[in-house]
Amino acid sequence: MIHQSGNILTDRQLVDKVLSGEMQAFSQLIGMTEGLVARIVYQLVRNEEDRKDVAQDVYLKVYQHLKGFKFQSKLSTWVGQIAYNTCLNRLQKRQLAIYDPPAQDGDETAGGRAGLFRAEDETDRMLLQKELRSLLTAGIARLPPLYQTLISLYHQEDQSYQEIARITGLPEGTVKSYLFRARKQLKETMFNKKEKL
Amino acid sequence: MSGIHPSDEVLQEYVEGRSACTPVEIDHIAGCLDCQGTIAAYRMLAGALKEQPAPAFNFDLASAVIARLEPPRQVRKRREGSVLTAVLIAGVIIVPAWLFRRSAYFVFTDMSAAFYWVLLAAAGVVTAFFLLRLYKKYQDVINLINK
Repeated sequence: MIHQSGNILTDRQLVDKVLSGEMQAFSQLIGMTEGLVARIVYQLVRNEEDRKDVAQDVYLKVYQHLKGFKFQSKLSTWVGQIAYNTCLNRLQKRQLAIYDPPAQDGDETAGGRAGLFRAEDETDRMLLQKELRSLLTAGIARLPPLYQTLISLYHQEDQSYQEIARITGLPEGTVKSYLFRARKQLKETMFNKKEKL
Repeated sequence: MSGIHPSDEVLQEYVEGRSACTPVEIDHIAGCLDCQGTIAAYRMLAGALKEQPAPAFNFDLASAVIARLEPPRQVRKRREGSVLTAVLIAGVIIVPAWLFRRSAYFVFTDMSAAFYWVLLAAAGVVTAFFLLRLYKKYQDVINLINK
């Protein structure tokens, strides 16, 4: 659903407008779902140029297949599903490198470096939060690309387990289980050192 | 409070919302400092994840995609062409027919046999022309397949 000059445009209205040839409506559709597509593409495709190509391919496919959209899910979920499959197809066809960040020192955890639970004043807390954020970014980068995508969709794009299952084609239980593992891995990366001290 | 710690999954569910936790687990968590510590870490993690910067494409995606959408524009043009043709046909046939509707009967009753033949011959020529074009198209497709 999108807002257009105060009016709420439903998925169906938007699709109808695009199908009737309104390029402005298609542009709105892209604007509405671009964030979600970026989350998926950035987690799965490493090269910047390839990301550009993939993103465009996603929306060309959306345009070509929009007539076949049955409104059985949210339009954004359907676009996300196309984005995910396009990334996978690209990776299979061209064998692009899946993002694989360099390994980092295991001792660089939030607890160990920042003394997380010892913050006494506001300045310390802000510094710790900053530290935590950078460690989290590094921690996410260490996760397998699929876990990164799931974390991104669930915690940042607020997609439900069911929607993520639709996008990725994985069973809902598997999505849940992978998310549990990913969060556990992140928690351990960030807080384990503290527990050891 | 029971002495068995709930699993990590249960503690994550607790952070998401307690609906998936049993009363025994909730009771344990309420009185267990270890579990509360883990929950605090997961809460902090969830908050930090939410604040992660969103990736964004560094180019105008909508313009780039729309620039590559040529066929729909042609369809639109074709549709506009069809509307124009319909208007022309209406102008040439329907409007005069309406204007001369009172004398239309005499047009057909007063025609000579020779004129009928001319009309039939013209229809035959037009039909033959379209059939030839269809045959040529068919030959082109066959040649393309056999190449």
